[in-house]
This record gives sequence, structure tokens and C-alpha cells, in this order.
Amino acid sequence: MERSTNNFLAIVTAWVAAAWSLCMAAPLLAQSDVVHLATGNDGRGRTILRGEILDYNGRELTLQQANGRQKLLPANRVIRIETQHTKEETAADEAFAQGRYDQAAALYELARNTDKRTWARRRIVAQTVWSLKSLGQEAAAGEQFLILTKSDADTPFFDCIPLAWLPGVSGVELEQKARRWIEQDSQPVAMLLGASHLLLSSQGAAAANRLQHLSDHEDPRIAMLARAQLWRRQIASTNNKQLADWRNLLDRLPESLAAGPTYLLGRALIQQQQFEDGALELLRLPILYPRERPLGARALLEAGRALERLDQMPEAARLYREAVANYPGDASAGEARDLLQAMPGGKRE
Amino acid sequence: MNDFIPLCRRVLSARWLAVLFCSAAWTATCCPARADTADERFLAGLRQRQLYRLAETFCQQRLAEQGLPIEEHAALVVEFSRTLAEHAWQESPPKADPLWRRAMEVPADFARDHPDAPGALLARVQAALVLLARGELIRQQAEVRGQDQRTLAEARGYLSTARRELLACATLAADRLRELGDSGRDKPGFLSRAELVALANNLRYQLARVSRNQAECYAPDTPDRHNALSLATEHLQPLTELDAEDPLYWPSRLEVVHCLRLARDYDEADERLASLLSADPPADIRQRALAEQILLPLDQDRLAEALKLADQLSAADMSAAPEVAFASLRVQLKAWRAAAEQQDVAASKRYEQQASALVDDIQRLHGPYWTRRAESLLAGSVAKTGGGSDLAVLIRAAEAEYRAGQIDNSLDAYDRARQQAAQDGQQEEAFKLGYTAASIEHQRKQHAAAAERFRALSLASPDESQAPAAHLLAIYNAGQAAKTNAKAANGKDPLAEYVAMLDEHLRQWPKGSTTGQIEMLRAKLAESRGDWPAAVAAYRGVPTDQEQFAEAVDGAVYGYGKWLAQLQNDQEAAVNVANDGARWFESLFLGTDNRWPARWGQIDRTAALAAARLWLAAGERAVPRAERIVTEALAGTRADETDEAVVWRADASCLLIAALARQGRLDEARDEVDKLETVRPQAMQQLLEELSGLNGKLPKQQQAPLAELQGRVARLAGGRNGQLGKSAQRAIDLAQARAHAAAGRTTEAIAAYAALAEKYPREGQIQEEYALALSAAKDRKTLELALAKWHEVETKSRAGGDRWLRARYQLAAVLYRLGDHKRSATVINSTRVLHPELGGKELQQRFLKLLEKVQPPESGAK
Repeated sequence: MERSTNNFLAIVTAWVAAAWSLCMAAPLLAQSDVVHLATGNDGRGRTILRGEILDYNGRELTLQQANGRQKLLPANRVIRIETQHTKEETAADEAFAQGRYDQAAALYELARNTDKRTWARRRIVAQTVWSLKSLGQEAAAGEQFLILTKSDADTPFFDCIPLAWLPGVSGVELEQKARRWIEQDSQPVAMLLGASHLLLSSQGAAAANRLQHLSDHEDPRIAMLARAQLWRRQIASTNNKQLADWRNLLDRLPESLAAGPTYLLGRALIQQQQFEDGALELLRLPILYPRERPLGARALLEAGRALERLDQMPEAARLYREAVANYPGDASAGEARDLLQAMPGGKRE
Repeated sequence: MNDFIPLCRRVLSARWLAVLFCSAAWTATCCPARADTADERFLAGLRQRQLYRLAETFCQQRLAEQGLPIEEHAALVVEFSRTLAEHAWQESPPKADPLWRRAMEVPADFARDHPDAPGALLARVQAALVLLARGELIRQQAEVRGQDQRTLAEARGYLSTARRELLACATLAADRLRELGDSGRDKPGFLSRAELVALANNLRYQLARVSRNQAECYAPDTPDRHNALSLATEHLQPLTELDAEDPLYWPSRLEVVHCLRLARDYDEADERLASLLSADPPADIRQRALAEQILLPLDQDRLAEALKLADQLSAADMSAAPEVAFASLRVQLKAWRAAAEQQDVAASKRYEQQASALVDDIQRLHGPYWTRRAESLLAGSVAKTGGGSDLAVLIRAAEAEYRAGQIDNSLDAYDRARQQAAQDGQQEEAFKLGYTAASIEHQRKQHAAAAERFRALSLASPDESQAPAAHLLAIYNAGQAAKTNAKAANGKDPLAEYVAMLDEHLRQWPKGSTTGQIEMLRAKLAESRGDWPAAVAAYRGVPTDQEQFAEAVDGAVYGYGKWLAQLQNDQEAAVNVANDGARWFESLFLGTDNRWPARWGQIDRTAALAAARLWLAAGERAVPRAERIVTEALAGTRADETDEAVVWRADASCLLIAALARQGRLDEARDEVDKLETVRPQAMQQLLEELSGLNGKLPKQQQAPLAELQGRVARLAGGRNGQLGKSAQRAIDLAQARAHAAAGRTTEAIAAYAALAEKYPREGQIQEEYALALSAAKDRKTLELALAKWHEVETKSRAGGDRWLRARYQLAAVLYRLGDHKRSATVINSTRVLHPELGGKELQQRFLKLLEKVQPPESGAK
């Protein structure tokens, strides 16, 4: 069940949105960035370096120190960065933390124009993708994500990739965009995005073909996500051996990228009447991936149903209440409200 | 300036110091657990949602994985223990007890089994912290129960063990620090120097908590309390001098204030608290400091000041920290008691209501643990004030005692609430409260006490709609008490009490909805005593419109069967019983207007068969009546193709065949046999027994057709061997053998009996019939076999018994037929010596007649 290995430490650099709001009280050093690094063979040591960050991508961080010397730091050793934000970005982060995603998206747009540092702008684009995903604007999110990966193919923000994981077909606009993306042979990330959104459409066979092809891609992130995307067509008919294969892939997948595949595993387990195991997998979504909002809401709903099958009614009701309270406006929250009202004493909810 | 915090899945050392279980109170005051690995964050999320069962399953699954690195194993052990402990913290006893036990055993076992593993020390610390948490919880329970000494002793036991374990862990941590020296280098997976220092500080903090809790187990102003508080302050002092960034710095400063307050060093406590608040503490510390600010004047009996501070609290303060709401509740309760003492009714009522509202707020905002504490506190106050005037508060107190496992206190509280409700004129509410109290006794299987409560309640308010149900529960509990031979509350014989209560119920509510249940209970009791007349009377007493009626009819069918079996030696009484029973069953389907039913329902059909059977038992004159009933009922159910109706028809047809045969209408009986499609083994067995009973009773010319009929029935039943039970098969085989014998088919009869005799070697009846079949033969060889068989029957029968006498006669008869008159006479004469009556009039005549043949008169005269 180990959900990542040291091999992927370089990739595992998920950025927690909540962390941005925590740093308002951090000591501010004028015109100086602070980098917290892991040290030692096992990464348990800690050190702090100060200077000006010139670049930060999926491979390394370039820090210019006070003496003028530039230092290259491996990206997988970076634990935390303290830096100056523009007021637009600070406002956007606040809006994002408070769940005002439409405002956050607009403010990040402004922030991108005010912050002149390319490496900082990449983080702003990633935040824009998260905001758009939360709003269900997956077509726009996809376009923004492709901008991000064009700037840094190894981006540490790869986890915001707006792939399709939920059941149901894509809307017209998204399908049109997906058709264009899937044709971009030189851009495997675009192909992955396109195939993902077309997989359950009338072009599902071609999309599956493309995903099969991408399953052998040299970038393990793309290869593994492509493989996991294909699970969407197998959920209703999995057997124990396939589930073991899925778990095996999840063990190798960086934790930051495991949200969607974990959701699919949870659903497959429930299909196999393994309600407790299924609920456990689904609950990883709201707990470990709070930025994956539509997935989180859906996972709460389905985990609640699984717990009802186990006759754990108070626990199920708690999950429905969480879906209703934390994901207002989401279709899954509406379903959760109905289920809550259908429970004994539910009318009082 | 902002922080970027990329997550790293590598196990971070800091988490080791944070994941250790701490009580809810401590969690709220000390550094909140920071989980770093995905597993830890996931488990924290599950616990936050109170999904303990899922979290426990997850831990067990992970711990069962093959090849789990020992470091992860240790981390999961600590997480598992923490989950169990948090679960226990939220549960009320007795559900919590096994959880606490496991929470302690899981890390303790790991530390014992892997003493040299990385994480062993932390697992041991975790086990100690569980002990501390449990001790603290029990101590809090004692506090609200007026410092109950037994509970306090239990708390002291846990705290003392926790202290011993924590000290041992502190010594180990110090040893390891020494081993590391100044280099700070550590073996992979083991705690670094910095981590060990942090652990040592944490242990110091925990030891201070132990000492403070131990102090609270002693009465104020006692040397024991004073010493324990001094020790706690000593532990805390170095921690208050740490860097302000250290997670233990603020909680330690606050804990010192707490200790000073308990030591009644109020000035010093005031000063330290003011200093803390002015130093801009973190929000959670500030909230708890507010609670201390209220408790300081409260503990000094400056109630007005405490009330003023409590009134100044904002809703945000109350919702942010449970300690604040709890402190405010303590103030309201003290004000209530003070007003009650001064007999200020208006103020007393006001504070009582405010306290009740605060408990509601705590329940809404702060979860089960704090709710339980608040309710217990409220319950304690209710007891101290001798019961408040607010019924809702009294009920809440009773419920709280129940949830806390204080059943006796809970019952007292319910009784007070019931009295209050009665005083307020709320009779229905009073009845409900009494019912709840009795149900608690019922639930904890105190049957005699439950019976007494339910009975008193129902008889005191017989017009309440639930009164008969309450009395019925009294009867149930009295029955359970009788089973366990427990003495009734009034010292009477429990079984006699039970019977008296059944009669009492019928007297009190003769036409109640519970009459059916009561009559059924009376019937079952009579059955268990073999009192079939009483059982039948009770079954007949079940009202036709109550749900037990169908069961009662079945019971009556069974009861009459048993009753008649009991009367087999009193033919006249048996006929009377059968007549009476048949008329009652007839009344069920004929109704008051004495007509055949337009539609035969299930009860009608059961009653029809029962009536027909009883008429068959009531003598030959009643047999046509039995036939008529079965014929009508069969005609009335012909169109019904339900499974139940098809089976019933088969049974009814068997009865019709028996009725026809009894009247000598064997051809018609045979036609009915040929029409049988479905048969039930039991019904076939009964039919065969019925037909066997006709052997020798019908005119001689009908014996052969009767035997043919019996054979036909036996073949029909035998053809369905696969469906037959052992007993049914035996009956059918026996009937077949009898049919052969009755028809004079001696060879077939002997073969059938031989098989039966071999299969049932211990059944005297079969062995005797076999011997009889052999005796019917005409050839010498078979007669010699008969002789041997009769010898065997004689030997295995009780000397002087009916079968023994019959065997003696048959021995003599066979010897006569073999021409051995002398031995035949010897057998008869030797039998006469000890048994001159020779088995009664009929057998005696046969003996004597035979004797005349084998013993010339002259020798007999001599």
C-alpha cells in the first residue's frame, strides 16, 4: 500500500494551498527568499538557505546567495519556500482558501501579470488550474495546464492536471477541445488530456487506443496516469487479480498524482461488494486531496452509500453532512442531501 | 512573505513526537498532532470524522501486510493505539473498556516484542500515555460523582502505573542521549539528538500532567495533594523557560497556572495568568487561559466575579474551546446551588435553565466527550440540590448517569424525575419515566426488580395506554426471575408470583389487547407442567381478533392430542373431551349462524381437520360427522392452489380415507387413496396407524380388502421414501408388515417383520409381532423359529408384565402345535404359580383353554 517511493521524490512536490495562507506571519526578509531544505542521506536533516530564487522547476532550484554565487539545489530536497507575494496573489490565495474559486481565478489572472518572476508565475498558473477545476471549468483548466507544462515539462505542479475521473461524458466545449488535444502528437500531456476526456464519448475506442500507446511513455507520470485512465472502462468487471495490479500501480504512483486512480479503485472495490475497503479508498479523496473538490464530493457520497450497506448509518450520515456542508453547489452534495433526508430522522437535518 | 510547503512522504522525525496519543483536553491545549506521512494524515482525517471503525480496520490491514518495515510498523502501532484511545474517549462505558485495553496493549506488546527496534521507545511512551488518559478520565468521572473513593482509587492506580512507565521512558531517553554524546549522530531509523531532547521535554510535560491528576485525586489542603502539585510545578518549570516557538512552552505556562489554582496559591496563579495573557499567546492557549480566568474566582467562592466573567464571554469564545464553555457551566451550576440554598426560587430556576442551555451548547459544539462531562456535572448538581424543579434538567441528569454507566444513580434520578412530573400534573410523562427506569432494570437483566417496577407502574396507572404492556413486561421479567430461581423482590416464590401476575393481568385488563399474549403464556406454562386441560383452556381463551389466535388454534390442536393420549385408559372421559373439543373447533368455522364458511381460511381449515380428528376419537357414531366436515372443507378449498392449501388437502384426504375405512367403506377409501397426489409423511403415518387400528375390528370379509388398502397406502408412502423421516418410515414399514399379516400373506409378513426386527432389535412391539407372524406359519421349521423368538421376547420382557405373559402363552401355544404337550403344560402351570390371574380375564381364558388341551382333565383334577 506504500503510495510512493523515493524514486519519485523528485516529482512529489505537491503544493498545499492551505500552506499559503499560513505564511502571512512568517518573518519577512526584504528582497530575500528563504528555502527550507532536507539534508542527509535519509532526508531527515534540515537546513535553511537565504538568497534570491532565480528559478524553480521540477528538476532544481537556482538560488543566488548574498555573495553573488549561484547555488543549484535539487527540487526534491526543497521542503518549503518563503518568498514575497504580490497583493493580487495574496488576495487570490485568500479567495481560494475561502472557497471563492471564481474570484480566485480572476485574481490569479491579475497576479500573473503583476509578478515578473517566471518561476512564481508558474505557481500562479497552477493555482488558476485548481480554481478552474473546482468551478468545473475543465476545458479552461486544460488550456492553462498545457501552458504550464510548456513552460516547465517537469513542473512540480503536475498534480493539478485536469483529467477526467468521474463517470459521465464531457460537455460539448470540452469534447471539442479534447479532440484538438488528442491530435497533438508532439505533446504527450495534451494527448493524455484529450484521450481522458474522450474516453467515455463516441470516440472512446480511439481514446483508449491513444491511452494504451501512452502507457509506455518514457515519462512515468504520463505512463501511469494513462494506464489508470483505462481503468475507467473496466470498473464494472474487475477481478481480484486486476485489483491487485491496480494497487501495484498505485503503490508506484507519486502520492500527489494518486487522487483519480484511488477514486477508481474505491469504486471498483464497491462494485465487488467490498464496501469497507472501498469506503476507505474513497475517503482518501476528501482527506488527502482537499483541492480535488468534485472528486472529493463524489467520493464522500459513494463512501456514505458503502457505509450504509455496512449498516453504519451514523457514519454514513456524517459523510453526507460533510458533502452538503463543504461542497455546496456540487451535484454530489445535492444527492447527499437527498440521502440524508431519506435516513431515519433525516427530515430534521 | 509566504511559505511554500512541498510535501515530502519521507517519514519526518517531528511527527514521532506529535502523534502520541493525548487526551482530548491535552490535544486542545498542546501542539495539535501534525501528521506527515499519508497514512498518518489519512488516519487523522478518519479520526476527525469519528470514523473509528474504519480507521481501526485500516490500521489492522496495514499492520498485517507482509514485509512492512519495522519503522513503519512502529508508527502504525502508535497510530492504531491513538485511534483506539480516541474511540474509547468518545464511547461511554462499558463499550469503552475493551477499546482502552487494546489501546494500551497494542503499543506495549510492540515495545515488548521489539525492544531494540526504532520506535520501541515511542511505542512504550504511547502505552504510558494511554494509561494517563484513562486515569485522567476516571478521575474526572470521580470528580462529578462527589469524589467517589472507589473511582478515585481506580484513577490513582492508572496514574501511578503511567507515572512509573513515563519515568522509565525518560530514563531510557536520557541514556540514549548520553550514548549519542555531542556528535548527535544516530543510527538510521532511530531518534536523533534533537528528537530525543524534544521527547525528554514531552515526557516531563506528561509527568507534570500525571502529578497534577494525582493531586486532584486527593482532598484539597491535604499534604498528598500539595506534594503532587509541587512535583507537577517542578516538572513544568524548565519547560516554561523554553523558546516561545517550542510547542510545549505555552501549554506548560498554562499548566502551571492550573497547578497553582489547585494548590490554592491564588495570588501567584493570578499573576502568572495575567503575565501569560499579556504575552500574546496562541489563540488556543488564550481560550484555555480564559477558562482559568473564570475558574480562579470560582474556586475562591467569588461567585459574583466568576459570573461576571462568564457573562462577558462571547459566543466565539464558547465555541472555540470546550474548556471555556465547561468553566462557564461550572459557574452556572454553582450559582444554581447557591440560589437553591438561599431558597431563591426564581434565581435557582434561572440558573438551572441557563446550565441546561449550556449543556445543549456543549453538545452541539464540542462532541460526545465534553457532552458526557457536562451532563455528568449537571447530574451531580441535580443530586446535590436534591433535585431541581426543571423536569427537563432532571431527565437530562438521569440520562447522563445512564450514559456514564452509573445505573443506580440513573434509576434514582429517573425516580426523582417521575415524582417531579407527577407533581407537575404530567401523568403521562411520569408514566414514561417510570417505564424507562423499569426498562433499565429489564435491560441489565435485574428481572425481579424490573418485574416489581413494571408491575407497580402499571397498577398505579391502569388507564394509561401502555399500562397493559408494562404489566406484560412485569410478567416476562417475573418469568425470567423464576427461571433463574431468583427470589422475587417481596420474598415470595417467583413461580407462584408469575402465575399470580398472569391471573392479575386478566382481572385488571380482561378485554385488553394483551389478553392473547397472556393466555398464550398461561397455555405454555400449563404445557410445561403437562396440565393439558389447563393448556387447552388457555388456548381457547385467546380472543379471535388478536394476532396470537392462529397460534392458539394450533396449540389447542396439539393440546387436545396430548390430552386424549393421557386419557387412553379412560375411554368415557376421552370421548367427552373429544366431543367438547370437536364442538369448539366446529364453532370456529361454522360461526354463530352455524353455516359452512363461504371461504375457507387457514384457521377454518386447521379447525376443520382438528374437529374431524376429534369426532373420529369420539366413537363410531361421530365418524360420519368427521367425514362430512372433511368433505365440505375439501370442496371449499378445491380452487385454492397455494402450497399451504395443497398440503392441507393431502392431510384432509388422509383423514377422509380413515373416516371411510372406519365405516367399512373400503372401496371408497381405496378410490381416495388413488386420488392422493401429495402426501405428508406424518399424515400417512397417522392414516396407517388408524387403518392398523381397524385390524380385527371390521367384519371378517372386509379384512382382506382392509389389508389391501393398508398395503396400498403403505406402498404409496414407501414410494416417497426419500421424503420420509426415520420414524415415519418405521411406521409405514410396520403397517405394510401388518397388512401382509392381516391378509394372511404369511411369507410376505414374515419377510417384512424379519427386516423390521433386524432394524429395530430393541423394540419389543416389533419383536412380538414378528414372533406372532412366525407363529402363523404351518410348517415345523418356522414354528421352531417362532418358539425361539418367543423365548427371546420372554427373556427380554419384564417378568409378569403384559408382554411377558403374552410370550408365555404363545410359547405354550407353539409347543402345543409342535406336539410337545408336556412342555406346553409345564409352561402354563409354572406361569400360574406366580401369576395366577394370567394377565387378565381374556388372556387367562386363553391360557386355561390351552391347558385343557395339553393337560388331560384327570391330571388337572389331581
